[in-house]
Amino acid sequence: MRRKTNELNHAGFRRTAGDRIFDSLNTVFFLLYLLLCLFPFYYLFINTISNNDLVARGAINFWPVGLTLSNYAALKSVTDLGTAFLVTLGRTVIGTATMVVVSAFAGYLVTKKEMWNRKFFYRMLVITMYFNAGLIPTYLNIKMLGLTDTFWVYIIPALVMPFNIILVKTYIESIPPDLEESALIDGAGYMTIFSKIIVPLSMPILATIAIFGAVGHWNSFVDSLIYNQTAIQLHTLQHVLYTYLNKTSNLAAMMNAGADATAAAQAAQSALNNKVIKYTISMVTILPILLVYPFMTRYFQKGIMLGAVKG
Amino acid sequence: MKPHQRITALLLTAVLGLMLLAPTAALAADEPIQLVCYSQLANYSGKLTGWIAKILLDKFNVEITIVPDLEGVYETRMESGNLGDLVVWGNNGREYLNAVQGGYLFDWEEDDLLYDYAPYIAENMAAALEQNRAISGMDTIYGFGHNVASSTQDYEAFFYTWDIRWDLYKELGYPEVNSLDDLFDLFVAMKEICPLDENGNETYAFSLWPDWDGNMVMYIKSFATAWYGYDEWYFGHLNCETGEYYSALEDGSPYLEMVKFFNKLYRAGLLDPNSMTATYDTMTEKLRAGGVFCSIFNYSGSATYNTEEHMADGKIMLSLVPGDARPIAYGMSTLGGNRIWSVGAKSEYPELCLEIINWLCTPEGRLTMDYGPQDVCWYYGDDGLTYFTALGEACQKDRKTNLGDSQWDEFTGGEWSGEFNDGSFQINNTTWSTNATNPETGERYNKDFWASYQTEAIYEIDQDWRDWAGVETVQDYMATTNYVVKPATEYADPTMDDDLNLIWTQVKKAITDGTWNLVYAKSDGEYNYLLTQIVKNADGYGYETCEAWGETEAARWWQMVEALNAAQ
Amino acid sequence: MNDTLAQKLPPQHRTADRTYYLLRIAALFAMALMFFPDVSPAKVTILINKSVSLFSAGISYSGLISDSARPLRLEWVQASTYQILHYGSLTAVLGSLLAGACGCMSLGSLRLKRLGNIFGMIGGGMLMAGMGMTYLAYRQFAAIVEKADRIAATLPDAVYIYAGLGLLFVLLSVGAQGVLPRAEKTDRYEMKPKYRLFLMFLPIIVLSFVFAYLPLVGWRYAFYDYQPGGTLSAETFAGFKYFQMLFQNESTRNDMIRVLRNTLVMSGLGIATSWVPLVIAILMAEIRSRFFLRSVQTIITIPNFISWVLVYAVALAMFNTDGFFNGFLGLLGIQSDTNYLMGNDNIWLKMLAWGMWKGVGWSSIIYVAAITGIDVSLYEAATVDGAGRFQKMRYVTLPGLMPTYTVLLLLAVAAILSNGMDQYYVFQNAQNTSTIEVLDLYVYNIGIGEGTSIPLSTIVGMFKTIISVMLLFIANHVSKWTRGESIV
Repeated sequence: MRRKTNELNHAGFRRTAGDRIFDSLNTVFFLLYLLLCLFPFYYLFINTISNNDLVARGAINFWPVGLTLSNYAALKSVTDLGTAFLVTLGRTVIGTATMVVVSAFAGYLVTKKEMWNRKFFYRMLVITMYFNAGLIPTYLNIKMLGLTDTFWVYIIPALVMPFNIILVKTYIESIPPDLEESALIDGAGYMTIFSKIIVPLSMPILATIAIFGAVGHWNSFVDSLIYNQTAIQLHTLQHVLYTYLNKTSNLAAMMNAGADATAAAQAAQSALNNKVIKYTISMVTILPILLVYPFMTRYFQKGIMLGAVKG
Repeated sequence: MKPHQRITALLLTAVLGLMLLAPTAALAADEPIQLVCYSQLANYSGKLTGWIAKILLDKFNVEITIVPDLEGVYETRMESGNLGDLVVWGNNGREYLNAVQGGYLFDWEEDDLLYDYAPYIAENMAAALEQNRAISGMDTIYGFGHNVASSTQDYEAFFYTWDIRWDLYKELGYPEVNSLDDLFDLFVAMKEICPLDENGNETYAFSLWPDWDGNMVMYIKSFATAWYGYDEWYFGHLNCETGEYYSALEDGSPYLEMVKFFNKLYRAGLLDPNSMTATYDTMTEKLRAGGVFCSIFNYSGSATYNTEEHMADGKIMLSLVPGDARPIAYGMSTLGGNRIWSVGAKSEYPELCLEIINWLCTPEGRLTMDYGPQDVCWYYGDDGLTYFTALGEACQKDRKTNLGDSQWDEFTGGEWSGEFNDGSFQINNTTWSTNATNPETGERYNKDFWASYQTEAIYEIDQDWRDWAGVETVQDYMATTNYVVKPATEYADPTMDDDLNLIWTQVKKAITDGTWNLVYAKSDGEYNYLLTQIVKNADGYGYETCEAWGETEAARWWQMVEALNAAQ
Repeated sequence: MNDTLAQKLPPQHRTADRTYYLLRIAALFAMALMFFPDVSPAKVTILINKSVSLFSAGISYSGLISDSARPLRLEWVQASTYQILHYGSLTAVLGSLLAGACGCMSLGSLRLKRLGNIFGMIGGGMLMAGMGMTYLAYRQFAAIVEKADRIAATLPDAVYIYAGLGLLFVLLSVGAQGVLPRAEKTDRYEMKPKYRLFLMFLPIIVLSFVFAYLPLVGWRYAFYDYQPGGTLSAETFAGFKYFQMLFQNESTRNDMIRVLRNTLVMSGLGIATSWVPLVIAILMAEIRSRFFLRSVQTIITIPNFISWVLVYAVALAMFNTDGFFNGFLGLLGIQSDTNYLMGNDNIWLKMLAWGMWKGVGWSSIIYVAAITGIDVSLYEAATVDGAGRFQKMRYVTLPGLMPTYTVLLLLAVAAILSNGMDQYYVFQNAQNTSTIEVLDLYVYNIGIGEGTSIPLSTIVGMFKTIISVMLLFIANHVSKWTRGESIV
């Protein structure tokens, strides 16, 4: 059975000697690169599944010793983890979907040179990427808009992301203009062209910004912290896990003002597993991303353009 | 659809969309009241759970949500104008005073609510309340501080415990340790008999960590405190018995003396060279693996090292105070400390908040806060002293003890559930000091001083120490040393304006960075050169201003001490 | 297209157009104003939080009563008064929106204009009605005798402004309606493409304005002695005091220079190696096995997800005196016990290496997507012309990636002052501080951050924004000059 090959590859069917050498070097290079990327992750992982005592002594370096899943089981006791998970999942799905739609549409509109004052508005949009108004003004603004302690504070401010709009615009500009022109001649309106022609052709870049957006939503912490302070049922996953992490250690704070010796001793006891908890939390938040991401890579495929021009 | 219909539909959708933004708020009549507690000392976020939640629900019909002081929380809450219902401050400095001046805190005497709803506080903590009136500067009471003492004669439990590897000390034959040189020789000897830790890496006398550095390098300044009995005072130390201020960078200052000592340790290979890049976590790793011989704190010493494994193996870390050292103990004050309990001005239920704080000041509340529900975890015996129940003791040994477990039914009556840890009092502030006297029993609130809670030595090596020290507990041992008590006064840190603040942070960085480099100097020549550098850098940022500040404040503090002495 | 639009407009339209200019400006003004709490007509009592604008009062009842929980519970004030205020504000907000809609519709054909005028009339009326209700609520507050000092009812001047605007809308709409001829049966609801596109883009402009431009009002904090929860008044006005503070003494000035140097070097190195993700993407495209490609794509993104704190923990385990690296050297017979994380040499390169390890995989995603977007027929044409693999990479793939690359390069140049803080924070120590401290870290270290001094942190933010925008346009011009096309 012939192995599936990568359609992006342009080596053709007949491989020269030079091709073979290049391919092997390429493979070796990527294998080394993969090792470099994987090793730290592996190190963190084996520390989470090893005996905690050994981990506390810094003895686990290359392979796990004393396999145990107790760290992951301990996460069950995190209060509100289930709710936080659902909230984060919800915001990732809804937030990403809405953001992609808005970015795609905005990116398309911005390529239309006949828009009134197009350059001016585009520039006004782009420079907002560099705006830094400060924590308090941003907070007051969100409060003024009535978004504090709501779910929508996760979605609405994240709808317009100039970076994503720029990516979409750049991509759409590389689509041959004759496709659009022939559709216009046939009497199609902007919306029809957008939905029937532009969107299917832009799948790779839309998948890209979907990935960026989804990861951003999944890992978000600051907006939950600042805007939803009292609405604890709306806290995101990272926020709840961060709380869980800190619950077990308040030593540094206690230290800074002559805390009681007995209290300090107690805090030290509960702080002992802090390091491994950090690692476990990291694994728990990375794993879903790694599971979902390969499914998105199928959008990076050729073959969509074939026949488009002729049709 | 006709265009105008389309347009109107669009507008209607927009309107509906806007209305979706409005959150709903309606409370049914018999649901528990929701209170928000903004605590700068908390590390927990969310509703209080476990046994403490049950107590609060039963007593006050209230559920408390904790909002900790993470980055940006203080600023945003102040800006929004609503700090919360209960507000607990980490110190009584700039942040607290801003809130007072902006009118964001509730006046406890408004409509006499203090006397109606918090009578125990009004009666027993009058001095603390008046102190609050004085520091707030508005002739109003907004709350009171933490660690209130029942009388001015007490002092807090000892904090600097000087833990060393007792098994190695025993092996060396209990050599006498008086001066810093004796201590140095002790470490050299320890390293000879124990050159490697359990991971096969080198051992050291100390392992430091930079992430807790404040005005000066944390461990070094604490070492100076633990040795001389001089408390930290801005950039430098304060002699508690004479009121003299020793600036950190002056010749022969306590701080620099200790820096020299640590440099000596480094050059002799007795200081963990990874200290400069370590984090608290990596230090604990080293400690757990037996790579560190000494610690002036118990949490980075005995509390972490003394595991069942180690002790069964005959290894333990326990206190040894060098003869010349003068550990410090902090005197307690009836005026309360600087961590203020207060109520937000916009709170809907200030009466309830006062009631809750009042309960926390009663002896029952105070004991419950630390040890669990009354009669479930602890009780007053017939002799009028405090006792733990078996469940209470188990909880103290292992905070994960589950109260819902059937084996504890005789104490819980099947009504309590959850791990002891889950129900702990996450607000993290105290009302009475744990070393204050409980008027009901005459004992301290601190369990380490209860007659009923002295523990037996389980391990030989532990017993060995008790024999040597001639006492049963570390606190008793510390009381036999030549300790210093820092008198408690009504001194409160004054606020610095932005100008001074900027200078301060820059000097801080110059000193901490310079200190680390000094400690790592490889020769006397390098050391002296770096010393001139650190002074030059600090002066460049304005160290003189900071020094002058320290002097003025020390004088002010001393005046308060003298006034206190005169009054007695 | 349609003839009615292309014809020269008759004189009545021109008069109407002038009316519409005024109306549009007024509508913009009304809509912008409703987001500013300082000029909110709904602020009739001090029991209403100072951050409540007309917009908030309209859409959120709970926001309106948030500070009045206790007065309501103890019945010093009545909930019904608040409700009147709420619905009045809501009516005003909707009225402004309708006026805005009128302004939008005035860009279209006659039919649209006439319909728009009706909306304008209704909108103006609603605006006036809303202000009437606000006035009513004010009277109710003012009538309360007990605890009057706690309530302090006032009628903001903004009420008159809005009422006036409402009246203006009504008059202008009626006027325009009267001036314009009646529409005929054949007239349609339509608009020129340029305006249609603009209106479709308008929601995005509005969102950007509301979430990105409105907060810039906070830049005024730089000119006051401001603390959280404080006031902006004549007493607290400080002028340029804080601007000078950062340059007050020589040590600070030297620090700023050093810090800026570090920042520019690190960003510069980042820009100099910005082609690496592109090359990785091209190499990935050449992988033969689809399975291997998918694995590579997934795994190289992993470093991006490991936070810098954890990266540092791994770095410690590897490069400490007891770390693997020394252990590994030991196995080879080389005695080594240096701590590689200390020391000041080559910090820039080390930081670059860590930064690349963490970021390259993630950045390559964009380029992979771009490669997928290159027209297949170009490759087919190249094959026909006899191009080999490497020539295809050079003459088809690379040019296809250029637009994306130049845009990203431009954005990176503009962001040259922002390196982020996390990476440098975990790696900094006493010995490398002179080379590792970048601007963001410096700001954090000396406490110019939010926590200590708001004016100072605002100034830093202002400074970074202005420089970034300037660099953006300069780089854009350079590109236009050299490559003949501008990017933004």
